[in-house]
Amino acid sequence: MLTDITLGQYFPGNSLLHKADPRMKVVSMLIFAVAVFMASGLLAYLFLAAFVLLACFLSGISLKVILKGLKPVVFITVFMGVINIFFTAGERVLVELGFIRICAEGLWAALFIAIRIISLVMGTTLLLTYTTSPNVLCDAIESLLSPLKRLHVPVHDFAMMMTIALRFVPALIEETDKIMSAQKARGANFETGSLLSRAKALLPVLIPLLVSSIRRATDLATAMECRCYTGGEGRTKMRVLKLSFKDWLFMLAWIALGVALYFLSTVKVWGV
Amino acid sequence: MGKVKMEDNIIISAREVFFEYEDDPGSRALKNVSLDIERGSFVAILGHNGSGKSTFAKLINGILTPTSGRVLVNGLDTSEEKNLTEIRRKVGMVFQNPDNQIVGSVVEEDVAFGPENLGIEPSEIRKRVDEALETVGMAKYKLHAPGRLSGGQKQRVAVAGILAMMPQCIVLDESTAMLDPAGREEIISTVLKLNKERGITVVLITHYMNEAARADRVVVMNDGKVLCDGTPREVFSRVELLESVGLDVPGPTKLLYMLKKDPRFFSLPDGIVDEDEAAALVSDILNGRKKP
Amino acid sequence: MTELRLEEVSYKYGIGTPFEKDALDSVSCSFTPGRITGIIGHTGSGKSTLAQLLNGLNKPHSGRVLIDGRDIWEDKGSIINVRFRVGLVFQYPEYQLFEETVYADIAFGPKNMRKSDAEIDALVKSAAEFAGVSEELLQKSPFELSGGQKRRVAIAGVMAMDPDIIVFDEPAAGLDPGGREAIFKGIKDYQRKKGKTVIIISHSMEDMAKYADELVVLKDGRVLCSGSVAEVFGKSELIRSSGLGLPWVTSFMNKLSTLGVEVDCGVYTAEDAYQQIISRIKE
Repeated sequence: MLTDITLGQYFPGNSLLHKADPRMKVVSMLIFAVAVFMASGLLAYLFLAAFVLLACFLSGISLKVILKGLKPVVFITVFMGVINIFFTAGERVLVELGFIRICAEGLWAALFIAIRIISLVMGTTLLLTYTTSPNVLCDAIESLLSPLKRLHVPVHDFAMMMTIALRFVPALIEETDKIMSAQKARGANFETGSLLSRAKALLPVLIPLLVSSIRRATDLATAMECRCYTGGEGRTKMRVLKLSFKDWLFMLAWIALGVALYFLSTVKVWGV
Repeated sequence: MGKVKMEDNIIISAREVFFEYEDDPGSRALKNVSLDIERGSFVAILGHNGSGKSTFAKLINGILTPTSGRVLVNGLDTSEEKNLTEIRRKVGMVFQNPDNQIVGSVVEEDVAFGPENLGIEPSEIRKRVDEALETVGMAKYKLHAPGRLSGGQKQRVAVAGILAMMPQCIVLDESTAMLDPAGREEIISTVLKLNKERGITVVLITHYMNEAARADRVVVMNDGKVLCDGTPREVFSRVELLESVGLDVPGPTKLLYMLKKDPRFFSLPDGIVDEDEAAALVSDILNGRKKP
Repeated sequence: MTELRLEEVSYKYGIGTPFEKDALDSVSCSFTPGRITGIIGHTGSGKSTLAQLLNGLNKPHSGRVLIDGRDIWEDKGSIINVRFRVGLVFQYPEYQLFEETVYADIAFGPKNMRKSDAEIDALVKSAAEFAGVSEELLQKSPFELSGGQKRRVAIAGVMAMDPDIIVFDEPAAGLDPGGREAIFKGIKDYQRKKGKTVIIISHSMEDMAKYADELVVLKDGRVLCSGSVAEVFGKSELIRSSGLGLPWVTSFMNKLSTLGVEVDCGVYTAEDAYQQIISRIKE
C-alpha cells in the first residue's frame, strides 16, 4: 500500500539528532553530501558507513524502519552496482566469459557506489526528514534564506508554501490510496495492460484527486484567513531558533567527518 | 474604527441581512435575517442542508459579507476590510472537515499558528499553546502529527488553535458533521466547558437535534429565514412545525409527543429533551404516582 | 443465493513501522443472504478495514474470506471477479466521481465488466432509479450536483455492477436527517426488491436500530457480539460496557425498567416503545 511509504516522513523523538538546531542540520547535510563525494578507498568508505550507522543509532529510530525507507533506492543501487561490476576495467580479472569480464576493481567499485548511495540517502533523511518536523525545517530554510529578502525574494511565502505542501503530502498519499481502492472496487485495473491503457486507467484517480486538492486548498485558505493570516509581515514564531554551543559542536562533527574522509581517502588498503 | 453603537451584552448582531451567492444569482441563501447573539450564551443554529445556517456562520467573521444589511461584531461592521483582523481574533471559527483546517505538521505548531499571525511574543505563544492544549485535553498529543489523530481529536486541536488567540466567541460551522458519536461528544463537551467556565460565547451550527438540545438557545433556520427561536424546550415543543420542514425532534421529545395524544398521558409537558427526565415523567404516570 | 463468511480473519497495518497495529484479530462471522447486516463499532474498531477484505481489495494476513464456501484468494488471478460479486461503496464515495456525465460515471463499473452497450444502458438506468438519481441528471456533469446527489450517483455506480452482495461503508456520513433517511430508505428498498445481501458499516446505533436486520458489533478488532438486532440490543450491559451506547429507545426502556415499570428492554424502535408503554398503563 502507498501508505506504507516512510520516506519523507517525520518520526517525533527526543534524540541528539532531533534536538540539534535545524539550520545546523541543513548546513550539516550539505557538508555531508560534499564529504560523501570526496570519499574514495576502502578505509574511507568503511568509516563513512560506520559514521552513518552511528547516526542511525543516535536517532533512536529503529534500523528496520530506516531500511524500509530505503526501498525506493534499492533499484537504482542495484542497477549502479551491476553497471560497475561489468563495466569497470581493471587488472585483477576474476571471471572472463566471452565478452563478459569481471574484475576485482569492478566488485569494489560496486560496493563503494552502494555505500555511497545508501549513506547519502540515510544521512540526509536522518538529518532532515526523519528527525526534523517539516515546519521546523521550513523555519530553518526561511531563516537561512532570509538575506535574500533584501533582494525582494518572497522568502516567507516560499517557506509557507513548503510547510503546507509538506503537511499535505501524507494526506494526499492516503487520499490517492483511497481513490485507487474505490475505483478498483468498480473494476478498474491499474496493474496490467499496455503502457497507454495503464496511463488511461489513471484518469479515474487523477481527476478526483485534482478536484479534492482544489477543494482542500480553498478550505485551507479560508481557515488560514480566519486565523488572521495575512502573510509574513508582523508575524512572530513560537519557536525562536537560537544557536547554542552544542549546535556548533554538532556541525563540527560533520566537518570532522569530511576532513577524516579526505585524509582516509589517501590511504590504500589491499590496493583500494 | 467606525464602531456602531450596540448594546454591551450583544456580541454579534445581524441586521436585515440578505445574501446571494455570486455564482448563483437570485439564489437568496439568506432572506432578511435579523439576529442578536448575547455575550456568554451558547446558541445552536439548526437546519437542514441549504437552510442558510452555514451561510450565516460564514457571515459572522467576514468570510462572506451580506449582499444587503449588515453584520456587526462588537460593533464592528464585517463588510469593512480593515475590521477583519480585529473581528477574527475575537470570533474564531472551526470548520466541518478536520483535515482541511490544520496548517501545522505537528499539533503544537498548528495551535501556535493563530497567535504567531497576531505577532505575539514567543514566550507568550508557548504559554498560550500549552494552556489551550491542556484545556481541550490534548496536551499529551502536542508533539504528534495531526494526520494520525482521530476526527474528534483533530477538531479539538482546531478548537485549541482558536483558543490560543484568546477569542470571545467560537463558531462551530458543522464541525461535528463528519465525526462519529464519540468524536461529537468530545467536541460538544469541550465547547460546553469553555462556555460555562470561561464565558466564551459559542455558536454551534449543526443538524443534530441532540446537540442543539444542549444549548441555551436554539435558532431554527429554514429556506434562508429564521423559522423559530427560543430555549430548546420552547423550540422542541413545536414538533409539527419542525417536522413540516423536514427536521426531527430529539427522540424522547417525539415519544412524549406521541404518548400525549393518548388522554391518559395528557399531563405530560411539551419539549422535554432529556431522556432521564422523560423516563421519570412516564414512570410516574405508569406507577400511578401522578394523576393523569 | 451467495453466502459470504469470514473465518478467523486477521489484518495488520503498517507492518515494520513504529505505527504497526492489529486492525482485525481473528474475526469470524457470516452474513445471512438476502438480509441487511449492520457492522457496528467505534472509529478504529476495524470496521472499515473489514469492508476492504470482503471484496478482495486487501488480503487478510491470516484466515479466510469465503464466498459460497470457497476462499476468494484461492485463485489470485480471478480476484477482480470477486469485486464484481461483492460491491463496495466507500465512505464519502462522491470523491471518486470523475466522468464528464453522471451516466458515464455510473457506467464505469459495468464497462469494466465488459458488458454490451445495451446491457450497460439497462444496468445504469435501473441503478439510477434505485439510488434516487433522476433521469434528467444523467446527462449533467457530476461536479454540478449537490452533495447529496453526488452521493447517490456514486452509490448507483456500484449498484450498476449488479453485485450479489453490496457493502456500504457509512453511506449517510455527513448528511442531514433528511438526506440520511433518503439514503437508508433507498438501500432498504433495493435490498427488498432485488433480494440482495446488504452489509452496512456504521457507527450509528440509531440508524442500525431502524434499518438493519442483524448486527455484528466490533470492538478493538474483535467481534464483541452478533445476532439479530433485538438479540444484540438485549445485551445492554455488554454494549454499554464497551462504550458504544445503546439506541436511545433501548436506553430509555432500560431506565423505565429501573424506575419499576415492567417493560421489555430489548425494544429499539420508537413505535414499539410507544406500544409497550400504552399497554402498561393502569386503567
